[in-house]
Amino acid sequence: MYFSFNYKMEDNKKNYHVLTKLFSSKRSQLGDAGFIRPSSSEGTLDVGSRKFFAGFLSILAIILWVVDISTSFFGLFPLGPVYSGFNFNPQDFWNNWFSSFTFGNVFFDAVLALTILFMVVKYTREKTPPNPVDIVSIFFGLLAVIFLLTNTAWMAFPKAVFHFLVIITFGIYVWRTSSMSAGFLVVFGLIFFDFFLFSTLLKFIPFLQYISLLGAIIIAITFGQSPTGVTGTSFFLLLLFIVVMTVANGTPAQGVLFTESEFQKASLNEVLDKLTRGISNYQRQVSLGVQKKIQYAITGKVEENQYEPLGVYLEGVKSVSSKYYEGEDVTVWGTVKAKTLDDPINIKIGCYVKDGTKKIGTKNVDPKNKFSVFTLEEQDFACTFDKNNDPDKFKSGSKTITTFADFNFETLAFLKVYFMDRERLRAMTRENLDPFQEFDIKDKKPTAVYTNGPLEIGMETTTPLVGVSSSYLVYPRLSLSFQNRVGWEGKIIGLNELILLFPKGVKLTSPSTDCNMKFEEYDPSKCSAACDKFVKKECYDVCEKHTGDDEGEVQRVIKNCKDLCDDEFSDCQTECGFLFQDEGEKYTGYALKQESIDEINKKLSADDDYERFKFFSCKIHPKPKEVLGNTPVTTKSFRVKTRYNYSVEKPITVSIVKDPSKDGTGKLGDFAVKGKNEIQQTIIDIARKKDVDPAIALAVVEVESNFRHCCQDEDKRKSKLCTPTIETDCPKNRLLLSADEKSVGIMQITPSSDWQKYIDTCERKDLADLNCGITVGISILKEKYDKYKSGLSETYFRTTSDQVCEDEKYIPKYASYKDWLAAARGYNGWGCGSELEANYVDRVQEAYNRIKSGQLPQKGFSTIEPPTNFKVVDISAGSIPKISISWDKSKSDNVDGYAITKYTAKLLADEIITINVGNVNIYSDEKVKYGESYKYQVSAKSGNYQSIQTNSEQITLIQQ
Amino acid sequence: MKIKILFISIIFVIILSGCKGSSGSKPITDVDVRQGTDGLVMEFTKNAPPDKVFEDSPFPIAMHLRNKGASDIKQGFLALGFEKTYVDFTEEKKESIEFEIKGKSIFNINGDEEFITLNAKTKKVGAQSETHPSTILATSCYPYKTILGTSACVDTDIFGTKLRDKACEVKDIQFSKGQGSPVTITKIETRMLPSADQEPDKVKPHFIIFVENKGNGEVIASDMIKDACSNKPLNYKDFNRIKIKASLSGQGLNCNIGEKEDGAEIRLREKKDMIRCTLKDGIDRKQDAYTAPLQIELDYGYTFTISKDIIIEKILTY
Repeated sequence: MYFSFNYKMEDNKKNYHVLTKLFSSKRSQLGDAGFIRPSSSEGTLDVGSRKFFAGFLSILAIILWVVDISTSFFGLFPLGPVYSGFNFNPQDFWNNWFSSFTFGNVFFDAVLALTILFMVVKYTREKTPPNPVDIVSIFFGLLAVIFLLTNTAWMAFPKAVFHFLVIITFGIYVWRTSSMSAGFLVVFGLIFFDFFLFSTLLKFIPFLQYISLLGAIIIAITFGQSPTGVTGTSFFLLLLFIVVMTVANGTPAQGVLFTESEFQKASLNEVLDKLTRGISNYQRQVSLGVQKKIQYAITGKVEENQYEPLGVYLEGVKSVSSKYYEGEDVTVWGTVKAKTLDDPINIKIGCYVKDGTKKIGTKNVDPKNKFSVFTLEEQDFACTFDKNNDPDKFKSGSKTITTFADFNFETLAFLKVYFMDRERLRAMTRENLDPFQEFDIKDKKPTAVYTNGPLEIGMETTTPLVGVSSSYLVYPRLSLSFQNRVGWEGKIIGLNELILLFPKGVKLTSPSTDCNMKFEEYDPSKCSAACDKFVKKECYDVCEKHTGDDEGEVQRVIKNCKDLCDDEFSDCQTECGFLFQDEGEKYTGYALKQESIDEINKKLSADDDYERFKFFSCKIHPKPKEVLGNTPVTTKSFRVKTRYNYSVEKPITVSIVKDPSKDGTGKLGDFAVKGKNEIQQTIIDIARKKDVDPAIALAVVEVESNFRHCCQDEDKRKSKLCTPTIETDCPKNRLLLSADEKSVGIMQITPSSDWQKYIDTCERKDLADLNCGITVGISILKEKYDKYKSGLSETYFRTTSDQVCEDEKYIPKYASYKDWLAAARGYNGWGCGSELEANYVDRVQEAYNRIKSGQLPQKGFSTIEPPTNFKVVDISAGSIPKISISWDKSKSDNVDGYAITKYTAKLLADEIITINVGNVNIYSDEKVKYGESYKYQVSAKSGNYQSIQTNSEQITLIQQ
Repeated sequence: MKIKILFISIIFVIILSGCKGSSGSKPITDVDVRQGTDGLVMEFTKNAPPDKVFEDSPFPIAMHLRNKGASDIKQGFLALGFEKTYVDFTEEKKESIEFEIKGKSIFNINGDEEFITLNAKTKKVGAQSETHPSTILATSCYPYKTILGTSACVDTDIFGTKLRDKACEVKDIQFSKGQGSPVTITKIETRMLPSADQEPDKVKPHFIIFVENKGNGEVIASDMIKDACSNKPLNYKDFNRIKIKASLSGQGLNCNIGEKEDGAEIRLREKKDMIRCTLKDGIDRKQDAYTAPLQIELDYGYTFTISKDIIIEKILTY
């Protein structure tokens, strides 16, 4: 066999250029073969380059082998110890890397992002669909590289770095000669194999200690791909070496024994169990997302409950309807789910809507009272915002209703801490011995574990391994932190109790000064008292609020509830025993003092930023004889128990829209009227149903009765004498009566058989009932509208035999009424027996104008006191005509002004003027003329409301 | 074609490596028990303890101890550590157990083994907890020896003036297979140096002995073994201390920097160290080169710990 591998010097330059082609990223240098090729299926190197690279790699493999087994370079400088790879601990790999290698893990995300980027760039250029093999191989290849680049301990070994570079070079070679996917897979496989698996193989195949397996693989593959003089020689030498070493090593005395492996695979059940756990863990991790740890680096991790999570959760919160009209009740409902393994949870449900910074709640909540959950329970709830309950808050637009559940809860946490004699620890440190490694402690940095719930507790000591001595220059410390757990929408609203439990042998020297807040000793009696206060008493309070129709049933329910409370109280006491009298391993308890708790609660109630909750730090005093067992390392747990009140919230957005069918007022205007109280709203609702303009209906009622229906005194129920009550129904002898004693109630209906048909439509067929009175009145108004909407002619007035106005001074005015004015006139009658009767429509119009401008009529029940002692104090007879009037101010407290209604002599509708003055009791009117007659009336005003008007005499201004 | 050649070559190599040498079994005297770097090997027996245990219930702990080294263990100690809040012994509180196990010999080429069993009990986990992980530590401390018997070439012709053929050549001796103990002698370098001025006719052989801790534990002073398996303090000097005795042709070598022949000690650094032992009396220069038996004995204590994680589960009832 003849191998020729001589290269001439001039070829070296060519080879250098060829070598650079392997790593070149420019398309122009390699023709159509650039860094990202149009097709990844075939290699891009020409035959000559392949042969050269193959030879180069063969020699590199031999150099690699020599370097691996050499400890110095020909005695000139050291190369370090013989390199045999790194130990492979599968459990370590799994625990510290792969089990957390999923979404949310920064390295996983980086590898995934790079893979996607690579694919996007590649296939965008190639305009071909992605090849699954390429995707997988790139992912794994990048994974291996990033794994090494992020776990950099191997870089301290120069030979390992050399191995890494050789693997990368070989990977590029395979890429260029075979395919990209092959290249990435080779990189992945060789990194894993050479760095970790080789050392494991070495244990079982000692023969491998003589060869470099990586080198052997490279030599074999390069020879297989490009058999040249160099690669052939390398391969032959490799074979020869293996043969010689095999013979030199001797042969085993016995054959291979087949003994069952001491390491057992998992059974099917175990596999399925692990699979379901993995899926649920993955889902939880994805839903939680990236969690931010507090910068103080006091951390904790939640104990994963296998079944339901602990705490209180609002689920399925939704609105009854996707949208609501203005004026409708808004209802939301949902389910509250609660689970506890310890103290019972007492939950109060509620809802609120925010108005600026103010929270406006609703009393209409089901369940109304607090209820207790002893283990696991689901309870439906519903909140209704009544249309009359601050209706302004539910004007059209988006509204956020927040449902909340206030409840008490308890979270426990524990932290594992190791203790060792301080001298021994120092000795080991001095000898460069890692105590954790020496004692096979895998959990080198224990993290606090806290039970599931809304609170996250972090705990740490100065060091995870505490050196214990009889004296300390600086005491070790225990630190705690509390914060709202990510994923819980709510906040801590009060702290009830905080207990620190130290293991046997660890104490606080002075509880009130050793920590940053004051603590006091906590013994079994205090624990028991806390059970009584926080468990039994609170539970009993909730039980006693049970109500129902059947008293016997209620008592039975209360008793059963209290029995459950007693059970929980008993469990709480047992827990106290567990903590304090546990077979010699007594805990020493310290409780946060009440004054410190009050201080914290004050800050909590004032401060929205509950992230600034509490950090506690205490100097601890471990005593060697008590804390150390008989073993070199002792493991103990610090515990924390806290009881607190929490409010979990869940918002929901509802949409309030204007009711398009109810906008407008009919013929006289186009605006929506909304009542300010129940009576007005009832009038509006009924008017709408009857297709009557709500504004005119309100105006008629104001003029007819000023929203009075029932009177306080039966002998003072005539007209102005009536002091109204809030009754919606009363005996007839207290029903408002007109001055002529013919008409009754809020709409001053004259009982007649003509109206029976309307009375029969009422639920309570009685004009004494408010609803019925309004219904009948509005029905009559509608009937009048239908009859008189076209108006009546003057001729009619002059010729008819019907009882209508015959006074010529009013006939033109009466004939001018059309539509709702005519209806109002018809409602009151077409007579004009008095001026009051004649200006009825004017008053209705004035009221209507006010309503149209947003000034709703005053409340019917809590009237504003009218001014009194109204009089004309001065009538000027000089050159400038003037009329002065005065009155005694209203006795009501909230009057902010007075409205003067001025009538001209003709009392025409457009000559009624309303003059608003401030909170005065005198007014001078200079807009008067001699020879004209005027009339004035005054009413007190409070916001949009007015009192009844005073009467006035007619005044004729005569110049003297 | 190339692939076929490659494939056939690999098959050839594998077959060749599996070939047996000379036929027939080896005689018992050929078995060298002083090989390997294991001493005491200890492990928890499967399911003792089990991976999961219910709270407030007993469970067994069984340790399988095997002496895979060549030295017998007398008065070894085993200390078990629990997280006392959650796990503790039942009635008998055996926190430190003494054991004795013989090592490999020509009559027992695998070494003796022993099972140590005891009962423990879990306690209650916290009220709101469903499970609690806990770790059981088992620390063993035992005295051990490393004995090496080899031949060294003694060549008094340090200047190479003698023309006769020599019986042997002074060279370094490598020991890669160990001596059946965790602490091994990895190399011995032989130097023949002229004696001091008072004895110009003599040559002193110097042996530089390289020692390495190849086991999975730590070396401790042989008189601190019991303390190492307790909570007592240890000084840094108690670690990595090995007593060494060496002899050449039955004559004791002086391994001390001081003058005493007995009581030489090695202090390992980064698990390694070397010591120089010399033949104090020297050898006559006239003596021709010869091979002499060299015996080295290392005496030390050894300690290592293994651990087992268990999960204590609560029985949930609703």
